Amino acid sequence: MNITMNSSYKLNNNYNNLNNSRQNRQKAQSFTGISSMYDRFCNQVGVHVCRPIFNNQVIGKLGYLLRNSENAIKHFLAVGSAITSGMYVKQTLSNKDMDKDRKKTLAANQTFTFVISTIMAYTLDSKIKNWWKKKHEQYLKLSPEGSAVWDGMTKKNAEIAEKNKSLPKELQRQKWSIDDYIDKFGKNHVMDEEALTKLKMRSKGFGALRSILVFGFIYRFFVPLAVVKPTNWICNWYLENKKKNAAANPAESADKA
Amino acid sequence: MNIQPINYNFTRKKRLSLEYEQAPSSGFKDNNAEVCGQKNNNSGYNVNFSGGLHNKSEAAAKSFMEKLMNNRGFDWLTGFAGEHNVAAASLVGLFLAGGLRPALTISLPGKKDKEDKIYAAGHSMASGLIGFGFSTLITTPLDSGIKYIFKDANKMRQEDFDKLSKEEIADYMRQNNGEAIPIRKLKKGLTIVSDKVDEINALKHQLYSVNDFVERGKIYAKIRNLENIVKGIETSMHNVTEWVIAIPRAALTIALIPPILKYVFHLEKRPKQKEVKQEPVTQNLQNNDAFSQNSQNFVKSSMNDFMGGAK
Repeated sequence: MNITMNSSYKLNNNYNNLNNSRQNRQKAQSFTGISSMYDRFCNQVGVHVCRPIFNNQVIGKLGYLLRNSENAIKHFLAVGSAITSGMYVKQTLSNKDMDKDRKKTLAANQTFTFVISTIMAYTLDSKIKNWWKKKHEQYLKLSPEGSAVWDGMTKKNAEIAEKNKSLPKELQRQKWSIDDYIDKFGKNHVMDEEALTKLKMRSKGFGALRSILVFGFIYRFFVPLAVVKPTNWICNWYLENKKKNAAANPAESADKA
Repeated sequence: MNIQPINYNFTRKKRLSLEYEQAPSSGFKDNNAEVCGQKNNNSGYNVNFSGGLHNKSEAAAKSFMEKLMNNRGFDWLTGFAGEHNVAAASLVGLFLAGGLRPALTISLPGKKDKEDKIYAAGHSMASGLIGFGFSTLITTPLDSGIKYIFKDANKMRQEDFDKLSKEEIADYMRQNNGEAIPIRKLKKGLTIVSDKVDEINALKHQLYSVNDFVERGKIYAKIRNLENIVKGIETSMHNVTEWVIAIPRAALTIALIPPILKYVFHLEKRPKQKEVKQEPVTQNLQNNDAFSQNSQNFVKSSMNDFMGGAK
């Protein structure tokens, strides 16, 4: 039986472990020039731009509302889309070149399309949630660090579930999501700080990618190709019908006008 | 009646083995492509032929996902999505609106003339490119800046550090592999987060003196709740930029589509004067027909062109 130890892998090689602040400092010093200038610029942006903008109670309340949200990005994408759609609806309604009926129909069409696409996106996102979780596990387990972290989380959650059986509801503990677990206990499994940061970002990104892909697919691909045309047909059909009715009963339409 | 000869693996120049001729009622699960034809075996005949190689179909499906996830590019994408949510969303938008949608628009059969389709594709590509460029340029430094002030706000303040006993410091060092306790640098930092962090630290401090199981449980629950709020604030800060830039991005997209179409895609449509005179409003309703308007009214028609969703 041959046993080969992979000494190039940092966890197996103590000399490669960047596990103390001195080594980290030395490593950080090697990144000079443009990258450090950009970092300093970003830090200044954080202090002088981001802090005054984001340090308010609105963000605090948003954070409170989203405290138990599993993948909060989807809500931001939906509201972002609502803002864009709202802007276009407003623009349509204030357009002087269009006649009144057409304006209203088009605005209703835009709103209707937004509502349909948002419902579709939320539904699809929740439908693939479990499948994506399996893929998340599969993805993390491709690396030994990820595998260790995932197994650690499973073990911890099993312990919590076991404890919760004998506890009243108030004292029952929440299970750990993989991102929270990496934040809290990642250090216990991955010694290399750089590897841990990368793992954290990738895990977070994989989770976020689900909503990003689903909402992007619905808003940027499916809806413009598949939903816009049928809603346009409905609008045109409605307007034609209205014109026909107006032509058939000119007296009524004149009264309304 | 048992008709089997059609279920023959031509690719391997070999007759199927007996185990496939007589369908396994139970015992083992076979995922090979050739098993597709076995569903009808109970009825006495089998005419389905999958045509796949033995032991290949499931392996191929698996390897596609594994290949994708093993790819360095995918690693980069997940890392990018984790760090820059808004820019990643616009990158996906670039792929879908800038690549896939135009390709499908051009390839779809339809009564519309070819020129319209090319313009629609160019329009879509331009909007994808501008959306990605603008979002990335604006949000990437903002994300890094947020990360910096957020990291600082998560550290302990000097006054709290001074109150710590030697045992508590030793306890911290033991738990964190001998790392020094990080102290906040910015005095006027992100107070919405640092207030919560101070509260969490105070609660953790309480845990040293409380021994009652129920009380400890309540403190743990409070800590977890506060940590979740901090996490929610972080997500909000990174993603609220999507709302802030939504309107200027849309305006910029609309304003820059004509020059991009002209200079990058070399597309310029001549106005159809007759059609404009006959049905100026109907043209507006068509999602991809903005360019059939008079070029002077282009910006307005592009605004009307939008039909919902984040374009």
